Amino acid sequence: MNILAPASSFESVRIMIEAGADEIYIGADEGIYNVYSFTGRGKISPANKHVLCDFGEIKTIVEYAHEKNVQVNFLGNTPFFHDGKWHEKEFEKQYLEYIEKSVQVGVDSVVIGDIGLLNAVSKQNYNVALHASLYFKTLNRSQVEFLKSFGVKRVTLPYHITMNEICELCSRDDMEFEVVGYLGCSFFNGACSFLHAYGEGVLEGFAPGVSCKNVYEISDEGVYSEGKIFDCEAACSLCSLKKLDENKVTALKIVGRDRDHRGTAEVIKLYKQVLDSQGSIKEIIPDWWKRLYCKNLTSCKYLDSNENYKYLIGVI
Amino acid sequence: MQEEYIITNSDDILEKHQSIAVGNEGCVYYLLGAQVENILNQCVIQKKKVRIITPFIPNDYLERVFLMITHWSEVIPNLKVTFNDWGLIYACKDLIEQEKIVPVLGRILTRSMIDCPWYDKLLLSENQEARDATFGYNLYHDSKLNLLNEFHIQEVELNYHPEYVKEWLAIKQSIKITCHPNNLISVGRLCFAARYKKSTFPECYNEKLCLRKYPLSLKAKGFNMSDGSFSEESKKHFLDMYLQGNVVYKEIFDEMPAADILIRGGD
Repeated sequence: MNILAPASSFESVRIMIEAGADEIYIGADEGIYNVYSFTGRGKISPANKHVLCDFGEIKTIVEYAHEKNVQVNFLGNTPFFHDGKWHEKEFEKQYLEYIEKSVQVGVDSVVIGDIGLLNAVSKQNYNVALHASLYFKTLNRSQVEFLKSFGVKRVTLPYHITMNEICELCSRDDMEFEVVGYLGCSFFNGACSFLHAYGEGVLEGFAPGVSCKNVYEISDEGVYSEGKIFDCEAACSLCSLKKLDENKVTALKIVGRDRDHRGTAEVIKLYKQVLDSQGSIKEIIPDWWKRLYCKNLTSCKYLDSNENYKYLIGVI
Repeated sequence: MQEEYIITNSDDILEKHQSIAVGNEGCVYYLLGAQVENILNQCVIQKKKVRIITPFIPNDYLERVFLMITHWSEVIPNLKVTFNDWGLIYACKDLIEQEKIVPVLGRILTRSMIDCPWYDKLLLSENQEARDATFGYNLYHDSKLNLLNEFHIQEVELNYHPEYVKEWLAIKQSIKITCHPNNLISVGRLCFAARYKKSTFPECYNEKLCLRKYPLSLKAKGFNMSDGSFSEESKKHFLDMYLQGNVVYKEIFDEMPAADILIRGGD
């Protein structure tokens, strides 16, 4: 199982590969937006970090990564797209040019997050693998078939999926599967309209924050109570890595393009170490990690012991 | 504009309701339960027009939902099925080809950036041309409409956004548009209502938790924020929201004259 790392620059790629990443994912600045992008995220993180580079840098990254035998997955996974125009030119043509440029600099795959764009890209016969992003919310084998009909080579599975479901889906040999190994969301990506800011900061007195982490008052037939009713992010999959690997998961995605890449590199080192270990992993996991995740009964990805899993729909 | 009535109890099927909708956008347990089955049986007896609304479909439930749709397609003429899962549409493609069901694309699959309650606060740093090229209905996209055509989909369910009614009318030239008296905001795999009530399946189903509406209001920031409070401007965007099972909706009080079909509550 490959470790798939987030990257935002040549420097971050170098650090991720040194940390043990087998694949990286990265997007480019398309030259249209100031803050939004074709990658489903803004160009600037909340910490004011640029998360995209230009195609010249992408070319350098691809050459370096390939020297190190590391795969480069290119992000074109905006989940929102409709027919519009930019400088008198069809917006879809602008998007296809963005993908074409990535193919020209030699990326190994493009990640797509919108069904119309997948339909359009699949008809171009680019010499590049197509990956279906987690925005597709793929939970069943028929959807895998559906995506395969567009020439998709890899499907990213959603955050909230069980080990049994992963094992069933991965039992087929004609599709690669990617699962998220670190951090996540509370809602389905691709079905959530509580959008985060794209780097605008405070917007006319309004800061949406992270809606699924907020405290809400809920009314139950006139009885009011307060709580973080939506927060169900599971962050860590260390205890599941071996099983994911045994069940032929192709890649384990570490999210965090917008995070400090040195911190993410430490996460990758830890995941790599656990994946390569032979015996018990308890000695490998540092105390700070145990304090952060191991005492919380809702932090574990893909383990039935996660207290939230009994509320997942469609697992019984 | 046609009207349909969403029914959650077979006793509610009244003479005045000719077109009935059953199921929901969030929970496969509810879809496959006895309540929906009883309603559909009554619809067969009373010769009602029927739409079954289906949610996302976990792998273990694909076969059962497919068999359910196949069964009802044999006894209900022109059965409409609203799909919120591409895999289920693909599994039902023969039923669609053979015109045993009338496929409709549901709101989980027609999500657009403008569905975000504060979309007008996003992309403020972009120039107007980039904003115009980005905001709008995701289905206002030939590549998607062509795909719908391949699947013989001639009706879609959309959230209502009066400021984009021009695009809506353009979409309507190809397909019918159906609305609900709410906008779908977000869907989780986890049932938030069941967790809130500490009730797991099948108790949550027996208690009809997924049918209850829980009004929500925003209280405080819970993540990474130095100041935990929200401005009144922020709170405004969360008005009229409620949780139903694993789905968050926002009530819509406007009339929707441009819609072809409106699915109303069945009370």
